[in-house]
Amino acid sequence: MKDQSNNPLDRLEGLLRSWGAKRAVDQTPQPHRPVVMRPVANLWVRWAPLAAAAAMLIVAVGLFSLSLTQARRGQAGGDEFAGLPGPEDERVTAAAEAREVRPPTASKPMEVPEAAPVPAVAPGRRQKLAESPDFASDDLVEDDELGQLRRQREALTTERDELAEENRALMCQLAEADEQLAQLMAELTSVEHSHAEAMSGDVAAMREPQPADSEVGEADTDSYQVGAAGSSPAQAPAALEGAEDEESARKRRDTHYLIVGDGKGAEIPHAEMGEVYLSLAAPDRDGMAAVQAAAANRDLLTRCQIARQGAGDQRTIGLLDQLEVILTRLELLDVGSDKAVSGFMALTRAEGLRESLAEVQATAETKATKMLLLEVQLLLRGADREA
Amino acid sequence: MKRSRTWLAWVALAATVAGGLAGCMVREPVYSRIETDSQIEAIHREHLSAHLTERLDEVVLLVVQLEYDQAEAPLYWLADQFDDIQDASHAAEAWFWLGYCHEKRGQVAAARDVYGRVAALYSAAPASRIAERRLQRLSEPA
Repeated sequence: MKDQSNNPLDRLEGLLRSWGAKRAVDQTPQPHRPVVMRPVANLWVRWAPLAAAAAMLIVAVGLFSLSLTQARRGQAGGDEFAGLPGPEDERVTAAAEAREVRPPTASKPMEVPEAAPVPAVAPGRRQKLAESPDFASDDLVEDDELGQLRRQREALTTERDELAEENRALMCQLAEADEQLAQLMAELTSVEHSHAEAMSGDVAAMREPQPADSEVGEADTDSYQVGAAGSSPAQAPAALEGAEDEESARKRRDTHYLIVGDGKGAEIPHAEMGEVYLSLAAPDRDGMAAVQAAAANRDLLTRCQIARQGAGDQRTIGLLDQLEVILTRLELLDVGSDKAVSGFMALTRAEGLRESLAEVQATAETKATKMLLLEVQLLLRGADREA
Repeated sequence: MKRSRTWLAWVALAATVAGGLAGCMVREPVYSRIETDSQIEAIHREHLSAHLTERLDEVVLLVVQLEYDQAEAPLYWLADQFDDIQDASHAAEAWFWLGYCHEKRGQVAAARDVYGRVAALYSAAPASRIAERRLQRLSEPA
């Protein structure tokens, strides 16, 4: 049995109470919802070092690889101070530039120019072309490229053949020039011997009349008068020719003409004469050492001083003074130093020196001076090629 | 857990810094090669010698152009400078060219003095040999 009242008033009161309670609850101000603190600051503290670490790691790896590359480059260059920063870098850079600028001292073989570059073709297309030559027939563009490449190949082959032919011809000319120069050096040596004989007072042998005297040009006569006062100008060259037959005398005159020319200046037929002169005067040397040795072997400095004493023309005296300085500087030259060599070459290119050499050589009073100036010309020409 | 992550981050940062420093230290031996005073002085001497040698070439060019009087003062200065840096070879050459200029200007006694100095003080230098030859020629009767 339920103990429940059946009184309507009680039920109404109950309803009113429950309604009032709901309303009271609704009208009662709710307290604010507690603010939940998000861990923003903690998140920043947690990830910021990681981000900084990652950034620095990337930078460090970059710096490390860069420094390794530079160190490797320095070692490859062989420079002791390759990585030196600041003002020292200037010296290192200069040394590196000097190494790069330094030309090879040995004579270079004749170079055949390289073929024109083939236009770039995409790798895939190139492979297709290589795999099937008829592939291009299906594609007009590729056909054009293949045809162009074939035409270029043919043109390059033709050009190569022409250059090879030209190279052979030039080598033949060079061989001829070598042969001529060998004859010239023999002539020079004999002239030097006769000159030495004349200087030593062995005039009697020089004065002996020879049948070929009349055939020698006037330009040949001067040098043999040095130290042989009173001898006839036409008699001296006879000492050179001696008892040779007419044919050899004619050959000798021809080669001599090649050196001295027609009295108006030396005709040097080949640009390689300087190099050949060095190879003959200093066969066991190379580069600027050959130039230095050639000057020493040919005794150019002493001959220059002797010629200077005997010279009467002011222009010749001035030129011989200049040559004395240059030959002395050459004797003092450190041929292993590129800077010293370039300094010496600057001396040899002094204003007007080369022109004066050619002009004075053409009008020199004595044949000894002519020969000396000609040899200096050849020496400087060889130095130009070697430096 | 949070603490351990933060700690790990700082360790990573320290490792990164250490790695960066290590990368920079790859070139450290280069510095160590020139750390002594004598080596620094040698480099300085080398620089100075190269500079003076270029000047010497310019002055010898004056001699080639027969400008003996203009070349004398620079040659004297250069010889002195080469002496200071103990570059005997170039000092001998500068003194030699000074004597040469004296000789060409007719100052034979001064030329003899300078040639004698070169021959005596720089006997190992190439210029000494040439100075001796010229001294001998000057001593010979004309």
